[in-house]
Amino acid sequence: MSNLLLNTIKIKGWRNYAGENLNFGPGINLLLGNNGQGKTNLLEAIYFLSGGQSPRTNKLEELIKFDENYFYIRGEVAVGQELKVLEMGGARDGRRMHKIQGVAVHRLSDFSDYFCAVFFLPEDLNLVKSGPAIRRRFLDQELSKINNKYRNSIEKYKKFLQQRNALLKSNIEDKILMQVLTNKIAELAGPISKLREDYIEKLSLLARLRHRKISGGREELSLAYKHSVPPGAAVEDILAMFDDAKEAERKYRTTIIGPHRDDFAFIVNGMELRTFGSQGQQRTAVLSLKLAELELIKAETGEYPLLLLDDVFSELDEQRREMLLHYLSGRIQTFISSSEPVDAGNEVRTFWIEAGTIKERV
Amino acid sequence: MRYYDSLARLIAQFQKLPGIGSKTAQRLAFYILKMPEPEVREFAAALVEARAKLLTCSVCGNMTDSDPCHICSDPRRERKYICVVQEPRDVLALERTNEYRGQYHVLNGAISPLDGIGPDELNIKSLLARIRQEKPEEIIVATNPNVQGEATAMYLAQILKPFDIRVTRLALGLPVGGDLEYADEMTLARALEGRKKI
Ligand SMILES: Nc1ncnc2c1ncn2[C@@H]1O[C@H](COP(=O)(O)OP(=O)(O)O)[C@@H](O)[C@H]1O
Ligand SMILES: [Mg+2]
Ligand SMILES: [Zn+2]
Repeated sequence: MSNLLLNTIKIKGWRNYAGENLNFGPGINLLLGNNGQGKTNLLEAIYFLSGGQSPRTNKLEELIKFDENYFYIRGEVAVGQELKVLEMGGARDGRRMHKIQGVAVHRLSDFSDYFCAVFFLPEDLNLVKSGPAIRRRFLDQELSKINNKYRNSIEKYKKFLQQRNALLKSNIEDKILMQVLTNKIAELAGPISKLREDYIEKLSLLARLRHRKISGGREELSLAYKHSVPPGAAVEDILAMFDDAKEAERKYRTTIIGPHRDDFAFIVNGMELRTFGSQGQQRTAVLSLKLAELELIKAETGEYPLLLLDDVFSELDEQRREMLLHYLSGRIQTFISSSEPVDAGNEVRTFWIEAGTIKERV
Repeated sequence: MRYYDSLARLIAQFQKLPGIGSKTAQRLAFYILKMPEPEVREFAAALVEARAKLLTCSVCGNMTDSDPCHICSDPRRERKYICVVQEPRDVLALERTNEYRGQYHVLNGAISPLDGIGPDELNIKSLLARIRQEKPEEIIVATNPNVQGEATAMYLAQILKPFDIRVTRLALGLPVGGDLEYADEMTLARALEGRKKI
C-alpha cells in the first residue's frame, strides 16, 4: 500500500520560525512544547504546502515572521518511489511563489495532486456546534480538493450569486438581466447539489464505520444533507422554484434559493448532535468525520493523505486514543501536537518545540 | 515651502496612473524635474493635445482622433461581421492578430451590478440601432472570459434573439478568468476561428 510521506521540511521566516530544517518519520511524529511555542505554526506550515491555504487566516502578512519580509517553505514529498520537491513563498507586498520540482505553477490547487493533508484543530468542534456557514465552507474546501469540476462550478456560482444579489439590491430595473443571472444560477445549482449529495453520502458511510469503532458499537452516526435545490434537478424545475420565490426575493432583496442555503446535520442514534449531543459526543463525531475524509481522499486519489492533529489527541480518552493509534498504525503519516507528554506507542519520533526552535529528542 | 508643495502635487498626479505606486511616482517626478524646461513643456503639451483631440467614434464607440474612426470608415472592411468588445484596448489586441477584417463595437465596460453597472451604462443601445441599420450577418461577442464578461455575453444573446441574426462567442483557449488584452495573438486567432453560437 502506498501512502504519502513528508520526508523533510525547511521553513524560513514563517510565523515564529527564523529557519528550521527537519526530517520526519513515516509513522507518528510527536510535537511537544509549552503553549505559544510554535506547535500549531509548524502544523500550519505543513498544511500550507498542500494548497497554499491556512485554516487560521487568509492574510499572507500574518504568516510572515514579524521581523522578516518573506517566508519560504520547502518540502520533500514521497509517494512510493517517487520524490517531489514542493516550494512555496510569500512576501509582504503580496507576491507569492509556488514551485513543484523547481517549476513555477500557476494553479495553487495543483499542489493537492502531489500533497494532501487532513488537519484537525480544536476549533473544528464548530463543525458540529456552529451555524451552517462553517459546514458549507467545509464542503467547498474538501470537495474542491478532490474534484476540479466542483471547484470551478462553486467559484463561478459564488461570483454570479454576488452579482445577482447586487442586482436585487440595486435600482437597476432590467428583467432580461435578472433572467440571465437567474438562468446561470439555476444551471450551476443542480450539479453542485448533486456533487454535494454524493460527497456527503460517501462521507456519511465512512464516518459511520469509524464512529461505530470509536464508540464501541454504541453509536450510529450519519450525515444528513439539507439541500435548498434538489440534487441534480433540471434547470426548468429550479427556475420554477425561483418563480415561486419572486415575492420573497423582492422583499428580502437577496437570493433565497440555491446551494448557498445548504446545510448538513450530524445525527447520532436518530438525534441531531448540534442541539442534543454532549461535548464528548460532538468531539467524537468530528474525529469520525476527519477520519472519513482521510478514507475518502484515499479512495479518490489512491493514497492516504497526512493527518495533522493539533492539541486534540490529548483530549481523547484512553479507549479512543488506542483505537486511533491502531487505525493509523503503519499506513498514515501523522503529526500530533500536545503540551503534555502523550503515550503514542514505540515507533514515534518526538520533537521538542521551544520559542521557534525545534530539536529532535533521541 | 512652495517647492515642496508643487513636488507633492506632481507626485500625487503620477500616483493616479494605473500600476504606479508611491516609489515609482517619486522617481518619475524627480526625473521630470531634471529635464530641460522645453522638454517638460512638450511633454505637458502632448498630454493635453492627445486628450483634446480624443473622440469617441459615433458609430462603434471606439477611441479615435477622427469620427468615424479609421476602421468604421475603411471601405475594405467587411460589413457582415460586428465584433463586440469591452474596451478600446481589446480592439487593438484583436487587430494585432491580422485575422479579423470585420467591424467592431466597443461597449466601454461589462455588466456588473456589483459595481453598479447595468446594461444602460454600456454602449448597447447604439449596437441595436446599428444592427437595425447595417443588417450584419453575425455578431461576434468577444467579452472577457470572466463572470462579468459572461453575463454581458448572455445578456446580448438574449436581447439579440428577436433580430434573427447569428450570435457567436469567443471561448476556445482563452484563459478562464483572464482579460482579452493579455491573451497572446495565437490564442486570439484560434479563438476567432473556433467561436461558438450562443
Ligand atoms: N507572524 C508571526 N511572526 C512572529 N511570531 C508569530 C507570528 N504569528 C504568530 N507568532 C507567534 O507564535 C506563537 C504561537 O505559536 P503557536 O504555534 O500557535 O503555539 P502553540 O505551540 O501553542 O501551538 C505566539 O507566540 C505568536 O506570537
Ligand atoms: Mg497550538
Ligand atoms: Zn468606429
